[in-house]
Amino acid sequence: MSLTSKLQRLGNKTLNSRFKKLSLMFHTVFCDLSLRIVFQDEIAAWNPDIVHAHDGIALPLAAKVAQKCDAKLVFDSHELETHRNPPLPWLRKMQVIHLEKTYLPKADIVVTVGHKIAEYLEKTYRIRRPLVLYNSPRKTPLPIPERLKTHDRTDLRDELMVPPNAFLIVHTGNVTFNRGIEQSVIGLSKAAEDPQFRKAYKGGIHFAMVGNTVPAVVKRIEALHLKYGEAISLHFVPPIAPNQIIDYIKTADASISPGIPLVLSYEFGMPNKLFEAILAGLPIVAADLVEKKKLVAEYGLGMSYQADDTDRLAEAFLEVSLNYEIYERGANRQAELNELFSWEAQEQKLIEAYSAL
Amino acid sequence: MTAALMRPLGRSGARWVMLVAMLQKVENKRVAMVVPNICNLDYRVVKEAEALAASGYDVRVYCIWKPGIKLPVREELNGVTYIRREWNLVGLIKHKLLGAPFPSDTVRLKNRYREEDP
Repeated sequence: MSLTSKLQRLGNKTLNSRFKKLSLMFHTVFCDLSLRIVFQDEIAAWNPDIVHAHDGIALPLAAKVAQKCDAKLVFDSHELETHRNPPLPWLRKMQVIHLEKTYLPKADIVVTVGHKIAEYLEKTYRIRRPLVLYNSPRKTPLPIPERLKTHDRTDLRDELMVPPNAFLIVHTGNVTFNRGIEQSVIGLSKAAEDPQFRKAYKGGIHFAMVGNTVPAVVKRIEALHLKYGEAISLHFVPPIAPNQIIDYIKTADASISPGIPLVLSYEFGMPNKLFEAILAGLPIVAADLVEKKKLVAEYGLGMSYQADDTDRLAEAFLEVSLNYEIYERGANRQAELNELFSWEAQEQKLIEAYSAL
Repeated sequence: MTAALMRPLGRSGARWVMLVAMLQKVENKRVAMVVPNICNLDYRVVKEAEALAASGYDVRVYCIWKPGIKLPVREELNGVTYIRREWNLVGLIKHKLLGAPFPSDTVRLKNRYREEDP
């Protein structure tokens, strides 16, 4: 490499890192200012009575519009913003904390996805207990636009041609980094070797992952699959329309909800896949994350395992698959759970809170 | 003034008028949701907006438009209006400093959407 190109590279590197650091310092300010230029006047001209912000970036804009129009402010925290994955660099984290500290007490309603996150927000920012709306799917789906529809896909087992004597376990959601899918593949491969399981399910384990995939993670999963002797069958299934998911996965035998307590937001998380499995009537094998574990145990939905231990995962899976009658839910029990956890129950809470504004 | 207007209706009549006014207020209440993404598959936002629209609120979701997403600038679905605007920092700086067209100008966005739409 010539000296000039070396110098050029060095210059680029330092400039890049300097610029990145500088841009981090002003990240929130930039986002806020530019969002306000784009939206503020237009929203204020409509003169809303309630402004509802989703995600922290939209919060200052919503607060400003609410102040201008003398409207009520609602904030929906989809996750724990300060402890999200990938972890925020400290400069950005400070800004997010500052932003939440300033605007959360001003909000008339704060909504979030789980009780643990609600507790955290309540204690940290000394606000009223946020309203908890689980990320659950609808019992009776509403129409969706044509572009999102997935036609001719109604049955997962049928689509993958999994024989009835095989155990089909499903994971819904994107196949991406730090979701614990790699651990699931190892754990399930270990469970497939169990002689009792082999006797009960001659078709073996079929692991279906429904959702978008990240190629690097798929490669890693396939490498692990090879390393553990291809004991299970893997299926990467393209995503399904959100209003069809429950009917689609109903023909699976169980659902897996792995997770790694990498950041606080994941540790407290109550993922969609959990509620999709509840409404589809599937027994659940779940990682023992704080709130998820409690819910699974309280309602007898399945088995939890220690999140970082693949042997425990295999044990939990064998417990569910070999004593399947215990975890299978009857029609009455399922109806009760549907009443409790469907989106219809969640939206009732939201509408009550709104009408009290 | 209101008391004077309501007097001929009697006490129960006044209550009735107030109830109607309250119901009308819920129906006319406007909810502006702000989402910093394209809101195509953000199902939580969609579910909340649809729930509010079904119970009588007038709901608009303000979200982001990007070149290439092939999504309309304005669409209506299950009683919710989605309004997409381009959030482009470079475009905004160009607009401020060099007098380039405003990135979220509706006419421009509609033209670009039409170009993209096959």
